[in-house]
Amino acid sequence: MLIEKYRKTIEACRFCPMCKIACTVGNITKNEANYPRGKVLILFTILKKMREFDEDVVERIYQCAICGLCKNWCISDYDIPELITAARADIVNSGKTPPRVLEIYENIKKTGNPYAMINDNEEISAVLDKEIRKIGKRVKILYFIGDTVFSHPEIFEATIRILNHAGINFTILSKENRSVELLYQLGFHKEAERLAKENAKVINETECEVIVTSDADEYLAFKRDYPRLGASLNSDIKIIHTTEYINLLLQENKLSFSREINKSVTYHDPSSLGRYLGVYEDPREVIQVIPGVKFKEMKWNKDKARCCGASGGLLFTNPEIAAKAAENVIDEAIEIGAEIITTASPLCKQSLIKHKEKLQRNSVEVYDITELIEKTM
Amino acid sequence: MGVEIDKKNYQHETIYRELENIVGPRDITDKEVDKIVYSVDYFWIPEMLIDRGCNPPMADYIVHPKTTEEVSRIIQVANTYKIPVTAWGGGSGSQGGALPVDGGIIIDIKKLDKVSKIDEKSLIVTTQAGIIAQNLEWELNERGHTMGHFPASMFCATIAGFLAPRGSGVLSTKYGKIEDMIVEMEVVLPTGEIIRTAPVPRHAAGPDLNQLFIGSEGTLGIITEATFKIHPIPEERRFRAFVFKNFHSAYEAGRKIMTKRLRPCTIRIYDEVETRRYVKRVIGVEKEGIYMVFGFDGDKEMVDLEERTAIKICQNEDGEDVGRKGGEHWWKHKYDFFFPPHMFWIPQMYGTMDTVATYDKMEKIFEELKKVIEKTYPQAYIIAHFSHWYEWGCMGYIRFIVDDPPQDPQEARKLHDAIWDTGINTILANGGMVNEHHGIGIKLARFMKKQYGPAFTVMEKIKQVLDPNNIMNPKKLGFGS
Repeated sequence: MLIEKYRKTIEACRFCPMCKIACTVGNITKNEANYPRGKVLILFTILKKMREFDEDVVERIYQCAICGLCKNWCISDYDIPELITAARADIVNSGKTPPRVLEIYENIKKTGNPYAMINDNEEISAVLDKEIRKIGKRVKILYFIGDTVFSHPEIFEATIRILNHAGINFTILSKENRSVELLYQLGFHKEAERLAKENAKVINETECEVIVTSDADEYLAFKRDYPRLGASLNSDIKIIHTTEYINLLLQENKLSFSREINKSVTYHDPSSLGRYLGVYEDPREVIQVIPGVKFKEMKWNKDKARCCGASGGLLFTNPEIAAKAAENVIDEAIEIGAEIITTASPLCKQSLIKHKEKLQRNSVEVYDITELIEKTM
Repeated sequence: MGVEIDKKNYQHETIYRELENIVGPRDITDKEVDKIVYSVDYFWIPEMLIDRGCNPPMADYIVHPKTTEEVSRIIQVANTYKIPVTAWGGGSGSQGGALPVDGGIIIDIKKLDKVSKIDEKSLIVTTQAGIIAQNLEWELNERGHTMGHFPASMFCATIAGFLAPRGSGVLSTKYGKIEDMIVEMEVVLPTGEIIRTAPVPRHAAGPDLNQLFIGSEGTLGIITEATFKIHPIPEERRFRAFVFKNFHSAYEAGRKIMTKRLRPCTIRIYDEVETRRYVKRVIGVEKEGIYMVFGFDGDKEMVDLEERTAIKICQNEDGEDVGRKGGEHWWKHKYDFFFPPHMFWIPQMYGTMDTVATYDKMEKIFEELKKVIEKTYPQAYIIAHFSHWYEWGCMGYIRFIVDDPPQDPQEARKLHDAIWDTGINTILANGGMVNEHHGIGIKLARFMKKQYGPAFTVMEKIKQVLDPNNIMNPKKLGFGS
């Protein structure tokens, strides 16, 4: 079993309640089995052969956002997110994948995205037809969209407009570029490996030097999971998130604003971009450059930012828990008087906008940072 | 012939439905996967059992009520079927107080987590009792206030989890133990009635009902709401460290600070072994001897004056002033000791014999306890610190550790219980209390009669009257089945 590799973490955390206050899911359900101590205790009983990955154990292991708040809270950095990811891979490998997770997997396999959305609607195609350069065209910048952003055309359209506005010569892969991270987090490591390798092949063929992605999760996949999965990108390829790239373009005076946004704006840190990869300042710098914006920090921000329920597959496996996590973030934003919540991950946006009625009632809008930039150009 | 359903299973389903009707389907579970987690708190015995592959006793149901009324209705169901009820907060108790040793219903109170009111004029806060302590403290801090209660379990324990065993925080020397902070409480009685104590704790209208329920560990009811004193965040909070050549000098310095009626927020004295092993490792101060941290807080001028006086007292006892850094570092890292790998953990066997006694007795208790335990059990060693100080005495946080206990669970338990027997009997024989701030739970239940003698009858009679079906947290606090 893969969890065997994390025995040290298991033995440290199985009885330790010190990160209880940080846990996203535990603090929603209040079930001890959902907190890190509980999950690890359960995994210890698996290692000890006191029980197996039965239906109920599997359910608890998928009730985790893998948001990394527990690891961040722990003074000793015990890596529960890695342990849970390993446990999910063990579950998949032993054929115990729960139906709900299997459904997501089938959706991703069939349509490329977990919501089984067919990516060939005319509107999207029209934008892409206009913008896509053929693979093989030798340009330095590759804008990697990925399946999740494909499901959010407003994000990739905004990004493309920004890149065009800045006069960037860039290319886009055809629709086959796949999202890897969700599969990886759900425990489908073999499938994630296959897709990462396919992606790496087509990316390498473009001979690009920089990959720009709007998807915080895929950014994490490129940086962390591709090397683990043996999907080798050309060694000189630099990978950056759109918020970092836009910040760079701003510093080089390649972007200008013609409109103001006279609103108070806050930023929700996606776990993958923030806690996992340490990108905290670029998004904030970009937002604060927008004319008229009054930037307000939420109480829990940067490495302590609350998870909105989008990570770890929670949005799909446990939508009710994810919805409550998103509501907690929205409440925090309302508390500080924010009129706009920005984020830098399509899944975070997706999780937050599910509370349409609450957002409308409180006159709060949710945008990806690229959308906000686009509005001012 | 159809499948036969035995009586217990038949009744199980009935009770499950009744409870589900109260809390709703999402807030009840009887799944093994959940029950195993609720069968272990921070007590060494269930941890050891799990480590050795054994299942500790489990509850039959776990429920998460959201209101006091739901708690009341759950308890009424428990009375109907005469099944045990155990309250669960953060599950960080070290005495087994929240363990469902007779099965039944666990009432997890963490959904009772709303701060009801902050009265800034009277400086009091009213909160539901299932709130995790740090969440309450953060909420108070936003308004410039503090509870002044900082136990190691701050990030995981509930407010009720402090009230139930009469808990204490690291600044208790000034701010008091939890029982000193209470103003009023709402309690669900063992028969389901919801009562409030009295609006203020200082009155002449009979005994203080708060103090009947504080420390009762869920045997006399479940605390669902509480009002506490709060304080302005002090203008200045300052810590300082001293190193003494021997324990007696450090102890005398601590005693004199208190009997001079200074108001330190903390005094902590680490014995030689703890200074060598843990102060160095966690605080990073490389000193041999007896390490002391003291602190004062409040208005700057008062802190200046009190600190100067305390420094003089320590210097008169031949203490070496190692400055503020060592003290501040302790404050900053005060919880680090309790994170792995700093905390003791299995395979080690360990236990904290926190006791309290008057100043004339505490040194002797420590000496005797260390001598007797280390002599009787050569595989065990003692480390200690003294960290809650009163006008009349102080607490000894005296821990035994066995690095390599038996693997066989029965043998391990025998050794564990024998060390506890020796330790508590030594404490009692020398005038100490069976416990100072962790509570009794199941771990120390067998010593309650010895501690109180005939006075324990008072507690037993109260228990019989309030809990006629004896369903509330059975086997805890010395109340039998």
